[in-house]
Amino acid sequence: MIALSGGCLCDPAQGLWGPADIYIRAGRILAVVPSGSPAPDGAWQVYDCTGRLVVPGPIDTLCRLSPAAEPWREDADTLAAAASSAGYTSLLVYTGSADPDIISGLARVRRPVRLLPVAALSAGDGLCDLGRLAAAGAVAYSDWPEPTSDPLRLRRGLAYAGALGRPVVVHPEDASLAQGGVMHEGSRSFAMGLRGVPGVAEVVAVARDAALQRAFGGRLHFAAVSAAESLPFLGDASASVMAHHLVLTEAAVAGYDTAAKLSPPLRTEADRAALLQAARSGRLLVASGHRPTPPEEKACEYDYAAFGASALETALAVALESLGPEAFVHATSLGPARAFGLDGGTLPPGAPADIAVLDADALWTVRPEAFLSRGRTSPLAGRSVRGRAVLTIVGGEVASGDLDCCIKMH
Amino acid sequence: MALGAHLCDLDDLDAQGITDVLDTAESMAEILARPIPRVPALRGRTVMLLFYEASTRTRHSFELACKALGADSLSLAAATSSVVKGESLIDTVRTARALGADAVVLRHPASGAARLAATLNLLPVINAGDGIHAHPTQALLDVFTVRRRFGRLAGLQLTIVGDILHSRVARSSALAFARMGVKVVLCGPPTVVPPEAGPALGARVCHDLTEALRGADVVMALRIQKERQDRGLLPSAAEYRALWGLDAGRLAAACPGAVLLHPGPVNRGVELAPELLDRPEAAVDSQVRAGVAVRMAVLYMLLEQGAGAA
Repeated sequence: MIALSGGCLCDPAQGLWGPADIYIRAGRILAVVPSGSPAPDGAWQVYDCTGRLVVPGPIDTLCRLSPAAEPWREDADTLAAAASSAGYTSLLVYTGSADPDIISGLARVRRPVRLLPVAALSAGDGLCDLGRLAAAGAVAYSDWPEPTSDPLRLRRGLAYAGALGRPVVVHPEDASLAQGGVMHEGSRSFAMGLRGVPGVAEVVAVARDAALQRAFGGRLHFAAVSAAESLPFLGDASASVMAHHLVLTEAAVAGYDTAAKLSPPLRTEADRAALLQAARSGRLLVASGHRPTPPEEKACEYDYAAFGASALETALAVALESLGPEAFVHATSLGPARAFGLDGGTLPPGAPADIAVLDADALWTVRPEAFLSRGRTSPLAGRSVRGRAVLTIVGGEVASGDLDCCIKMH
Repeated sequence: MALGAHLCDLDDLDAQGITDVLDTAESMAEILARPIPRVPALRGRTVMLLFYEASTRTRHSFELACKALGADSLSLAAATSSVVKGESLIDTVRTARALGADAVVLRHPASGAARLAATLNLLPVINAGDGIHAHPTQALLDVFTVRRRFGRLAGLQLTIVGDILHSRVARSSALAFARMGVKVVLCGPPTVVPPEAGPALGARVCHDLTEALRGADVVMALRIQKERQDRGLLPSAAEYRALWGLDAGRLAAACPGAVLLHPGPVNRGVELAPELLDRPEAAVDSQVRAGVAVRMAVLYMLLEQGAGAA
């Protein structure tokens, strides 16, 4: 039985925002009371959270876990350790797998984070065995990072997955307009001689897919949007933005920096500002978009470099600093729980005790070489960010944390 | 900035840097005019010519420049080296250094490849063309050729006609001329001369050939590649010739005596009417000669005067 005392709880779903004591029993919330109120009966191991921010457990909506088995690669253990250290309590892991055994194996992982497997949507021209995958524990379906290019297949996927109560997650990009681009299309890509992905390649895909969802129902989530012009077309779908896109622009690609080669690409300052505004207003969720790559796939010519960055260990700090506590909880916890129909996002009595305790003022420098993830490239390398997890609690147990920082026995 | 440790693109040169290279190239041109066009300025130095893409004129031009300065050149063509076995560019540059190379001249199909090689800071890197990004020695020889013709650069107008989108020559030349006070106009099919080309290169975009040529002191035609036609960017050679092909009649819109440049090799009868090459305004042969002098200047400055010779 543990208690978190004195932290500043931000739980917008319950309208709670202030110092509170949280009591946890049998993996669930027993009570949340104003700080300093008498403790319920029992022997409590108390963590002093004074001066800390306490939030419902963050859920990452976009995180790659490749089933390939090379030793350098991120596996479920390194992924979970990295996520937990950063404060996440649940991860939607995109496996690209249609194998129920792989899905059920991942779905069993509950420490140090809950892995929520996202299974493949389609194989060849048809749909995967979505029902069997749901039974194995898939919480959603997606072909990310590939775009779902065939509208008829998406229509069928939305209908089929919708009947199973699960969303389809798409990477909105029109492949023909994107024409194999490697950065945002504009005067910078022109000057650098790199093929660009115009913002409109995303806008037409967003508009099309949102229209399909409106017409045929089902639940649709956009894995990550990057263009301001996409925002008016989201329709009834939920959507995420990668944390990198809240603080970086295409300028990060200068000097052919492969660490900034992301998909969707980093775009203009106007796009960044609009995405940030949409995340603050609650229209966009904030995802890590974690997509680790081996070093040799980044230490090469920009055109040949892999897309993606190691993001789990920076995304929450970026989101917290960019959004402030309340919008942060919406974008990283409450919103993801609602969009994917998951437990979590709020801490009423009886809810699973998935909680992050954050030091919102901690200023630190991003050093990818020190990441727990095996992905060691970040476009934020060398930058200072503010906000750090000090304690991550999953199912009422400490999953990771700096115990010296807040332990206090009663 | 003055020419520093590398020459990857026009970011490595400000107006003074360009002027320094051109002035040095004038001295090199004098050497080349001698009965025995040799000096021992770089004797004992080795220049690795690392070509991941086919090239004859640029490679030969660098080889001649090395020879004239007394440097040894070592050619490593992609097809005959471990490059085909998948050795990375970074490892290949390290190998070049280990073999005793004092500089690398790099031609590569990926934009930014020279910058990548330069970030290793093992030895000076000279970009001989990277993807569609930059070809700085070509730009310098164009500027050199024009300065010789006019005795000045500021106040002139350059009109570049062709597939700007896929041309590293156009990018580097537009930037180099603009830096020297030349007004640059870009002209060609809208599919390959997009609006963002203007702000990217400090130039004006104009799709009408006659209007683009008005007031031009220098006209540069670019090679049109069949491959672009196949990708649906250009309808046909006949269409291109009709709208953007240069001939004597069209050129009359430019200033009298306007110099005609072409980076070569020329598709006679597509981007240029064949007879244009025989007119005195055509500077194509001067460009080729200037290429050797300019490359001598760059090699000399990086290897002998360079701050960055590692």
